[in-house]
Amino acid sequence: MQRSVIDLKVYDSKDFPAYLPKLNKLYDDLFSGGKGFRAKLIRMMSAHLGIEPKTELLLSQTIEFIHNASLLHDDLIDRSHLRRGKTAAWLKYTPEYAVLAGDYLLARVMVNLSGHGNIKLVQYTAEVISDLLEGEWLQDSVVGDFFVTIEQLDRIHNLKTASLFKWCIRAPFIAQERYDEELHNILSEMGTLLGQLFQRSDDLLDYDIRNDEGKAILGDLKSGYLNSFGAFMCQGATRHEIDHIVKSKNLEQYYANVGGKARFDQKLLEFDEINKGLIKMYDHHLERLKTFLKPGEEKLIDQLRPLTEILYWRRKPS
Amino acid sequence: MSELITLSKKNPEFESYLLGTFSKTQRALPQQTLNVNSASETVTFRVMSLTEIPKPSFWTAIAQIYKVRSFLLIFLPLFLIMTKNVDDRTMQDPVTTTIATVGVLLAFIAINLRNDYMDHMKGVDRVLERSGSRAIQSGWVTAAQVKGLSTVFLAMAILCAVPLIFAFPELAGIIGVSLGIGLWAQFKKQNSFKYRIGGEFALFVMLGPLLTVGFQMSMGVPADIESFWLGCVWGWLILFMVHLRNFMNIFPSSQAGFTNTVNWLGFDKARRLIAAWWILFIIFNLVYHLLYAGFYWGVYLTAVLVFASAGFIKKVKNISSPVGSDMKAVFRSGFYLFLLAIGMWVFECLWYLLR
Repeated sequence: MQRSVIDLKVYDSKDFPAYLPKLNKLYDDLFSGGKGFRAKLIRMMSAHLGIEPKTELLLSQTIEFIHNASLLHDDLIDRSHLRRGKTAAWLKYTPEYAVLAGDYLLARVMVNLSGHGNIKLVQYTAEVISDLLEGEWLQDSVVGDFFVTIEQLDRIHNLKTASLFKWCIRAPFIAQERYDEELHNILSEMGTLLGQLFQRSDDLLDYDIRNDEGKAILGDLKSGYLNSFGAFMCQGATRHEIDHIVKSKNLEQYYANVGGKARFDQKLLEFDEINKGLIKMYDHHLERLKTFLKPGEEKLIDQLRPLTEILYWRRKPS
Repeated sequence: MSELITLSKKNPEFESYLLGTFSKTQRALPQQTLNVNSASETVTFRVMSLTEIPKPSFWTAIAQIYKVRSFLLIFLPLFLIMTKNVDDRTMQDPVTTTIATVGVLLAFIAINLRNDYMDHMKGVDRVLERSGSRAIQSGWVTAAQVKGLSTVFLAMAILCAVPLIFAFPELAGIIGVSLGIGLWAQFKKQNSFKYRIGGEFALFVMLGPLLTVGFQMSMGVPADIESFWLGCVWGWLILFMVHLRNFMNIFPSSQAGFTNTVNWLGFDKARRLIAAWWILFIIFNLVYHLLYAGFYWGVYLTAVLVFASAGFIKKVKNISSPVGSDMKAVFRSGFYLFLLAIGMWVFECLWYLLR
């Protein structure tokens, strides 16, 4: 059965109490405009694993609720003024409402999942929320640290970003009560790699690399956050050089401070090369996954293979 | 052309890949690890032919594999004890002293190699990227070769111990206790020995008082409180470095479930532990000097160490992230203090020897 990834409505105001002031308005703003990539991933997995539409909706809602709760908290922590081109919730509705709205989404996740009755799914989701919060906590602790290394950032991103990707590809199997340990090891490895690739690609947008969505240039750097590509560029630089690099006001200045555009391009090639290694690793795990799929599910491999193209290279699926 | 292979602990080939015995012409370098320190551990190896692996120069390889830099940890207490006995004119037997020095060095190399082997087999070196010599991870040697070398060095160290026990039978107790601790470490089923709280105490005893008292006895000088004190002060300083390193790794090692004092205390309390540990070291060192080594040296060393400690204490107090670059800065600052303390001790010893 071919299912559309567009018509999935993960947020419905009827699911939330009407008597809470501002809540539904806040969620209306929050859920509109998002790409819903994680829900689409759930949808894709569900379609090939033959998951019931009701469960599929539950899983999609779960991941989007968790992701959007993290955005509410993130924007407040980072003091970001805009989210998806609109005023951030903490500015529009007060920080208190933003925190409560985020917490409420996480609570609803637990209510919805426990109603489904699969305790392993509830437990795994709780672990992911816990990882996510740990990641947010740690990420905040490195703001203003311009000497952080890419390995240290990877550890944070594994908690903050990769944990959600892992959930997207593991949860549908758990929902089907397929608990094989080795299968879940493979899925965990794949999810971690997808999360890392997504994060690194997202970090490249800050330097106007493959930035088709028009993300603000040097936004992370200006907010005091050295992202993974920034950390890679600063590898081996002296304290004095790093001081200069991080004070760049625009890309032209940035190129000049890192030793010229040619050197920037060379470092970008090296960064891409490292990430090609991750993609190779992902493909390796994808081959391993084949042996765990039931007859009729093999097409999932063809759907999962181009994800690295979409997430890292930002190429549209053909 | 390299290829990737993923094996879980349940796989019968898992151990042979970790040991490096799966092939004579290839090496398996761990790239990715999942669920380390658990029964469901999975490792993805990059299998490379021997010709593909970059080889360092002979001397670089030797220095790295045998961790020559860490010999300082063993030579310094020996030097301190030797200086004490030369200055007191109590040294009896230069031959047994030489045998003991060689034996201690061989035993230390054996422990270092065994430590690298154990860290590799238990996944510690895959969690903490900068742990150990990295010689196995780089493919220069296999874990099986490292284990074999460790056994050879241990056998040579035991051979050195035999004439010493014949010369000074009371040494048997000290060597027996050291061997007992070593065996306990070897047969601990779970984490690496040094990542256990009991392991820290064992390290303190082995590299501290057991070493100094044992070495003095091997010179033909009866054990005394001064050599015991000296060992305790040195052991305390070693543990300062252990805590500092554990603190730097608090995030990945806690995630992997390793237990040590720093992880047990948590980030905030561990900061206080490290600062307090260093301050206590300065106090113990002062007390040792006031009791045994001389008032002026004690005051002089303490004044310099207190003055030099200000920056370190400030860094420890201000650190706010377990993952940021401040962790490295704190470690570096603590390491400089460690080197300063050692440098001043050496200077003091030379003054005693050459006056």
